[in-house]
Amino acid sequence: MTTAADVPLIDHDQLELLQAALDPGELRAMLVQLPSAADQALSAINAALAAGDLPQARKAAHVLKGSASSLGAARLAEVARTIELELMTAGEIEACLPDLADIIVATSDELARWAERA
Amino acid sequence: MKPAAPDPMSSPSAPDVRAAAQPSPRIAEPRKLSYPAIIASVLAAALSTALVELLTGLQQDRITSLLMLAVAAVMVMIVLTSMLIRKNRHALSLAHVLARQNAQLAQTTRLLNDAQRIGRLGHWMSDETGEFAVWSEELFDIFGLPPASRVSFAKILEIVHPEDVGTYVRARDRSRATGCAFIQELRIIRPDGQVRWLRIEADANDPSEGTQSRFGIVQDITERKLAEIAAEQARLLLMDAIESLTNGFVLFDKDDRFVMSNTTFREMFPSWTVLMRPGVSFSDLMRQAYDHGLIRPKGDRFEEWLERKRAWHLGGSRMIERRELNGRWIQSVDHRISDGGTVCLVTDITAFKTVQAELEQKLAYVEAIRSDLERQKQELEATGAELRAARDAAEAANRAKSDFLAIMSHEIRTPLSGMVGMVDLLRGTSLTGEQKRYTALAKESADLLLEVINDILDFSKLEAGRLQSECIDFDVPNLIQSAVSFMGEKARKRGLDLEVTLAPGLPQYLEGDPTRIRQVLLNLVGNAIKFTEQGSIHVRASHRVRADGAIDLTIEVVDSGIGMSPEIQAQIFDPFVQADTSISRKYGGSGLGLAICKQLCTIMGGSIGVDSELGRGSRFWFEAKCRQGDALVLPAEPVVSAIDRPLEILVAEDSPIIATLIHSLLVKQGFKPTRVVNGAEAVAAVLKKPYDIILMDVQMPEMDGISATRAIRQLPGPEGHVPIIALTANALVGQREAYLAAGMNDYVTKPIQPPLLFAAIRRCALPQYADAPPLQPGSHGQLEMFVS
Repeated sequence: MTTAADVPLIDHDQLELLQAALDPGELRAMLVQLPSAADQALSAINAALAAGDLPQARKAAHVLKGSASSLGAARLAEVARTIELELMTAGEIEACLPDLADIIVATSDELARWAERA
Repeated sequence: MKPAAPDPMSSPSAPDVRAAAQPSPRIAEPRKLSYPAIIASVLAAALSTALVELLTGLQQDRITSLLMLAVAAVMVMIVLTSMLIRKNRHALSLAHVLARQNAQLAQTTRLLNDAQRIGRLGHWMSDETGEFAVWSEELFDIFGLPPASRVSFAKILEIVHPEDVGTYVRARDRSRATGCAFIQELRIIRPDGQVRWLRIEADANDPSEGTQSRFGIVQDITERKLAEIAAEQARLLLMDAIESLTNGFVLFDKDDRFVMSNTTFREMFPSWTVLMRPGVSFSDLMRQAYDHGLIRPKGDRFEEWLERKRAWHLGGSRMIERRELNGRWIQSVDHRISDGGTVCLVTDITAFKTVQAELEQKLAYVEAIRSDLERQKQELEATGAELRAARDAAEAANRAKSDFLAIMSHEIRTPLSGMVGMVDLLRGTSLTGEQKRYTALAKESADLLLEVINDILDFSKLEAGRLQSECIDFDVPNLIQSAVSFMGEKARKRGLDLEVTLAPGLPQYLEGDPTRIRQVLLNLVGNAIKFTEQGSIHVRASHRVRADGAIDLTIEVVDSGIGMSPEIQAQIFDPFVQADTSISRKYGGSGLGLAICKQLCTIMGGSIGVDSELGRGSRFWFEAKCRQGDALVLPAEPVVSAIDRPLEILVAEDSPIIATLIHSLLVKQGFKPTRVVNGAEAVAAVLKKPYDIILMDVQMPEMDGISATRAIRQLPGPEGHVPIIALTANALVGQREAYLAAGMNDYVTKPIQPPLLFAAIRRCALPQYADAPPLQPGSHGQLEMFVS
């Protein structure tokens, strides 16, 4: 099992693929959406756990996984995947959420820098 | 007045047995006793006379003298009378004694006869001539003859057993000649037929008597003789038994003196035989044997050895084995028997010992072999452990290689896909003629490279055993036609005819692995196109029903190409082999295609092969094991009409970011996307207006992609046939089956990679984009690699 820390923060290949297929403005517009979408996912996971709805928490993680991976946020996607598929209990997921929050922040910063460069 | 002695009175009144036995002295006794009585009478008469004279002398008268004389006479008479009476009484007594003696004699004779009868013994007395003899009563009984006053010798000879007559006569003659005593045991056959054993004895002749008459006895010794014979027979039987022993047998009596040995023993120990004289004691025997050098005790003084030996000998029943000086092995055991004697049993176990030694040698040999095997086994185990370690290392290395290949291929493939996409985009812009040529070459090279990478990826996965076979329903003619038409443009470009023949009765639907079948078929057709300069390529499909109901789908690809030699055919399915290294230079390719096909066919429970002749073309064929299939929910054949307008694409995706991303990508490609956020909206959108393609996220709220696909496939009319491409983050084999079973046509995995997305769209819009195929055979399989 790979841990989130083993996965690079950003999948540059994926971003370059996107860069190749999209206008820079479009790409930037999408990249800036990710942090808020990730925060929403985090909130949704928290809310689902509070409601004791583990499947809902996993669905939220699944959506986050798809978005993050497609936008090159590799480590964020890995954490989301772990929450969706590997963590068995609400407690485990809750324990993972601080990491998730940290990674969202780090990813946001990195993507912002990338978007500026692009 | 009784002067007589008491003896005559007492003697006759006390007769006894002794007197009766001694008649002579008894007869003389009365005479001797009468002398004193006479003397007394004479003395009395003389005394009377003297007294009378005395009285006369004293001058008495005559009368007185006479009277005195008369008294004397009376006295004499009284004495004489008394003597007479006494004599008479004695005579009476003698007669009585005689009668009693006669009775005693008769009794004695009777007792003698009884004694002879009881003792089965009679006596005889022969006359001077020896021709006749007088027998006692019992003798007649013994001979079974009637009593007679005398018996002739001739009569006796008639009765004596013929076998014994000679001996008897000779012994008797000798005895008569010498006068010596004679004892003979012989058999008689009595007149009643009984055979009896007799012992005849004659007393020695007393030469002083000067007579030839003999006295002797005859005793019937039949019982004793029979007992002796029986005893002898028993003894002989015992001796026979002892002699027949294969053991040496030696008997010592209770005083430990040698009694006998059997022949076996004497043969085993001939030098001992001379020492073993009956009566010699065990100890003496041993000493003599020692003196003769037959015993050599080791390390001990002889007497000490003998003491131990004797203790063992008398201890009994303890077996010992020893090696004789002559080298033979002897096992001996001494048993005490009931009378206190000892039986020694000696066995020559040399042969046994030899066999034992051989066995021990063999055992040692076996033991040596066993330890050798043990050592070999340990070596093997060590080798095995090394081999296992090496195998594990190799497997680990292979896994690492596969992982490395997968990663590297991914790393190469992703940017390469990007390049292909970019080239495609570039070719869509306005270019000079030269630039168009360069971009076409760039595109060709990139496609070739992609093909090679895809082959390597596929092969590494097949090698790692990661590829599983699917088992889903598929439309057989449709599968073949679509694959062939996919290659149609390529064939046309090379001026080749590409034909398809479906055998009559080929099932419409089968259950199997359409993805793999398609991959193999595309590969074979691709090869055929590659290696055929001119002529045609013919694809034929047929089937065969097996006994167990399984159906072998056979597809042949026949070309009129360059063909192959048998040597090439033999190795063409091995990995990394191309018909000719020059071919790879001329035709390109990884050389893995057929190896992959072979493995795919194996996975499908089928096989692959080729018939070819150099310069005459080739016939490739493969079989895939399928089962009877069912009609699909709806034919999944994409129906994309050839149109000039931009493709209308419905994007059903709940994630706003992904939806935006796809939307932007599609717009950039010139497509016309419409966004909905769940399955229900997708169905509703399809009902409102027709779409060329739907991109359907699998996991959505309200209604997921699979349910929505099923719903759309249920729609009547052309809306139900719209091609649907799944968007999924879970592109595992099992899940893919579910998507395809639900009626989806294709799928694209997340993260969304623009080239793959565009390729999928192109596949579904086949007629329009057939000339620009970034999709390679086996791309379905490759997609799995992108799911991490």
